[in-house]
Amino acid sequence: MNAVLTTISEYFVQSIATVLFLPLWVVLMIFINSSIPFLASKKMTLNLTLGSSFLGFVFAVFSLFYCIKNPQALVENNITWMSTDFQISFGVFVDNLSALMLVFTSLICFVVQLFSFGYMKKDESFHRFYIYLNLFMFCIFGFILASNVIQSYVFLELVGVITYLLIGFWYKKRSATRAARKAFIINRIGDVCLLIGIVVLVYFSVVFNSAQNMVTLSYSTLQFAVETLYSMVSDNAYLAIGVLIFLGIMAKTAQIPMQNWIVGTIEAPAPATALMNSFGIVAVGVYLCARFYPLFILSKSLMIFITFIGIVTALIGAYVAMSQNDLRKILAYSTSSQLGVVLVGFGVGAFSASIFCFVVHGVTKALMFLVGGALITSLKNEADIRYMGACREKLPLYAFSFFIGAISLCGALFSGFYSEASLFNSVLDFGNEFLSFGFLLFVFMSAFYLFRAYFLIFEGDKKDDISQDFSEWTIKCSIVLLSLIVIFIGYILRGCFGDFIFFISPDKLNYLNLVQNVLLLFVVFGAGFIAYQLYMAQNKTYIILKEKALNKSNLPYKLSYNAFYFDKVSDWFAESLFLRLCRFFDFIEKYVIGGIFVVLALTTRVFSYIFSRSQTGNVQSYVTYSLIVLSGVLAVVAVLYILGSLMGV
Amino acid sequence: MSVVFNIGLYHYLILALVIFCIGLWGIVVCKNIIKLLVCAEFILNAAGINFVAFASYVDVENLSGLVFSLFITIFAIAELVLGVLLLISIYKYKRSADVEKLTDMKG
Repeated sequence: MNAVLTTISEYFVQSIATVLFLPLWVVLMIFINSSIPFLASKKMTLNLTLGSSFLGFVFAVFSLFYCIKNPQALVENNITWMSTDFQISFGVFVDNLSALMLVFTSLICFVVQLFSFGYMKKDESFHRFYIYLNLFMFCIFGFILASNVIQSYVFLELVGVITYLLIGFWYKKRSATRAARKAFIINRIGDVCLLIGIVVLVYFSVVFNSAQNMVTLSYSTLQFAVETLYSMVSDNAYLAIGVLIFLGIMAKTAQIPMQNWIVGTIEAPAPATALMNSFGIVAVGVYLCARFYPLFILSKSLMIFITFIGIVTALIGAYVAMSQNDLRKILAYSTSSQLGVVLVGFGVGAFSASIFCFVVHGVTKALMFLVGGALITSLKNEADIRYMGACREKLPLYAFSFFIGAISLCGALFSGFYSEASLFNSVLDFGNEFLSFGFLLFVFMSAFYLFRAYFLIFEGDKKDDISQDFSEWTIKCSIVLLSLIVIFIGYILRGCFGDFIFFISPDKLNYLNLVQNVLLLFVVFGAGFIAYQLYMAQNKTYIILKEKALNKSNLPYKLSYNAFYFDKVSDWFAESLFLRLCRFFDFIEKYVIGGIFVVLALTTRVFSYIFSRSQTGNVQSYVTYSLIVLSGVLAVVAVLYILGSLMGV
Repeated sequence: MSVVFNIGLYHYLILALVIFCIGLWGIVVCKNIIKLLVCAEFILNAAGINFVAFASYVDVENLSGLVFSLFITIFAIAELVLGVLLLISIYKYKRSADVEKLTDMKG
């Protein structure tokens, strides 16, 4: 039995490239399907898409099984892509990290595609949405399975493009196109830094390792490459390369100061938002960070930099999320802050805990965005949580699953408990008081905004009686499925980390420590209690406190509500400064450089006018002219000949 | 006297030169396209006379000069056919065979 399973899993892992190209085939099929005028079937589109993602899930599970069985084995199939002085290959690379990511990405893709059927059924661009989802699957699978840095970069850009397309899906909405453009541009800034870092890395790798002919920068040889690099270049140069690569990661994971594009993702359809905030473009950043971990871990200052950026983003994101009124904005800022904590985990050297935390966050955030999207559609597109209330009676499923998601996300119970506790343990082991305190503050604020959202939406008085349960079976089905995953996944995965999912050295998760667990639970439920008092109970003291805090002229409130003005600053930078610069250069281009060419063209015109006057069009005059010229030439030749004979030459 | 009536190479060459000049003069001054074509024939035939003259006086044992003059005649006929065809279409288009009116190439 076991031998059969091993054989099957080996077969699956060897043919994993199928997973990569199946979505592309499905895209073609959907395209054909949707372009037949009367026979275009939405069911067929759904079935094809679900089939491809489910097959991806099966392949991924078997690959994971294979990786568990053979912990040190790497599967790498390459074909040569470009070959100059050194070789760049194109291929697939499966180790335990990519197998794990593949499992969860395909799983969330599956659930989201199921959800989208009910959600997008009435939309006229139904097929286009599914085409995007499949393209997204192709890109993210290609990124996860990429065998070397260059290929990773190519697929990373493709993921950026798909994110652009998904955010701007409703392209007739001006805010959507704006958000899409913003996300694309901010990600592009990060990508350029990343590209420079990668190119420098490739360059040094070529210079130092050309003797061994090992310069493909494949992930299997990356550790060797960075160790050589570390021993060859100066500390500052190494730091610069690391920071450049990390800037790309920062843009992808929405870290300070490039975090405000994440709010734009709410312009996409809800399932796409869920995908992007869980295992979409942010997963790209985290996965890249995990892949480049050997590079980061060699430099102490780099790790401190990562930790610093992570904790600052975590605090700012959570602080901003506390005062937002749009449910989707709360969740988006929450993504940014949670990913900050994931990066803190990387920074303090807790690789497994970070990946664990990220996976749990992704699943949970997908659930919350899906519930949020379904809820907002049920409430006739009312996204402001101040106008919701008492939705639990009419929409019990949503309330229940939202509660599960919230509790898990703030680390009190279910999957979040294991991940948050193990990360907290690593942070405490790091031994920096400020960091530990910041982490607790982050947990407090996360719990606060999640409970605030829960209380305002599902409890309290009814503010509007427009809520009706419209939902399709696919929506309910996917939400129930995802809730079950959120409940159990941490319990399933908690033992796996450290046993087989590790990178450099096995680091066991340590999540059971009575004092720490009690401390975390105390913080979470303290935040919940305060939120309850502020938004539910009719206690006089708290009402006065609340009114004081929510005063429009209150600086902390203003900072939080306007997201520390990052958005405004970047808009000012883009629209006032950059656009003016562009106009200035446009002026120069038009009137200085363009002027030179106008002058050139005019000169040609004038001369052509003058010379074309001499063309009378009368053939006989041409003959006469040429006769005259000919006789002139003959005369000159004759004179020269006569002179020559006279001189006796 | 014998110099005058003993027709030699030079007489032929002078005859050809005269015919050539007449042709050239005609091409420059004539207004009618038919006249132009005739003048072109003059020029070609002057060349032909030259070939025959040199063939029969200078290069007696070789026939290439004579053959070449035959080629020139054939070429002249072909050219004449083409020329008349063009003339007819121009006439259809312009209702005139006057060269001075054909100034479409004016700059």
